[in-house]
Amino acid sequence: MADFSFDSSTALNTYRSVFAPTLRAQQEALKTVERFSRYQFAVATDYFEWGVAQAKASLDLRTPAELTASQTTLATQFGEKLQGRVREFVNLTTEAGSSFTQLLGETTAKVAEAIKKSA
Amino acid sequence: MASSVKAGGQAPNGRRGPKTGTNVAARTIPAQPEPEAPAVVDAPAVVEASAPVDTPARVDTPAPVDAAAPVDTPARVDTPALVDTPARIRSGAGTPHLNFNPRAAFDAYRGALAPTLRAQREALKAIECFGRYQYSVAGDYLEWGAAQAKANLKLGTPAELTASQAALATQFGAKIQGRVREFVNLASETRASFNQLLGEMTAGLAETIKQSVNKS
Repeated sequence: MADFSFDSSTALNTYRSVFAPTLRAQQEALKTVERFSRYQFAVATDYFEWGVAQAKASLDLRTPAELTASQTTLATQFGEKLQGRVREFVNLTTEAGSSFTQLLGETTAKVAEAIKKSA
Repeated sequence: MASSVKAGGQAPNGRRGPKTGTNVAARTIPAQPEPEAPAVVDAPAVVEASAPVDTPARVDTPAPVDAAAPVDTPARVDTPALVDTPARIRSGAGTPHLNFNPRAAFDAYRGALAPTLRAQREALKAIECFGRYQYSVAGDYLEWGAAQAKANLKLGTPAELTASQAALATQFGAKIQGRVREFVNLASETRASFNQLLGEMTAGLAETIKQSVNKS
């Protein structure tokens, strides 16, 4: 009977090294998904705050001029917030694109190195 | 004498007089009133009232418009003081003077609907609290999911993976327990505030009814 010596730790290390680029890509993707989720959560919170502030301003019921002024102020604040969120989204997208580009370059370099070594 | 009468062709009185049917003057010129008729026409309505009723000429004559006519004449019913002429409408003399103050009306509306407004404010506060609570719970779930995904992608030993999963589950359980306590507190506060509001509204209504009863 043949003697099979199976080492689980060696197998796991081999598996890790083989799938290292894939794992790193998954980790980067997870980071990006987490960032975008947090961003969406923040935008939803902004909308929630805006709605609550609008309802409060409508229920204050002073003169129509004051009501219009408060609505204008709220709209201006929300517009500025949304502008900031748009800038944040652009930054997030740029960072995600650059990180994936860097990951792709590193992976390609590693594969080329491995091919060169094997050749 | 008799011949002269014959030669002259003098017509007898009763038979050859002017015929009303063939006379042109009688057909075109209207009949003149009798000598006493003008006196009746120019007479005021008061005089007419004392006139005999059986005279047809006097009955058909319209009553003259006179400033000194009795009260029951139509000329006295439509007095100029009550008629809105365009000049009077333009000057605004005939329109009633309405003293409408929008601020006073707005204040009255505010005073009448004050309990409803306060109830709406309390409801808005409660909705805001529950909305923030739900956002917090959603944030907790987001954190837990991200931490689980990170722990799965670290790829340590199975024992480390199990330990990290157990630690994450414990943390999440503690967080959820805290959220449940927070929810119970929120519900209790909301109920207490609404009960207080209802009591104040009932007391205010009873006070108003008592005051109106005392006034009447």
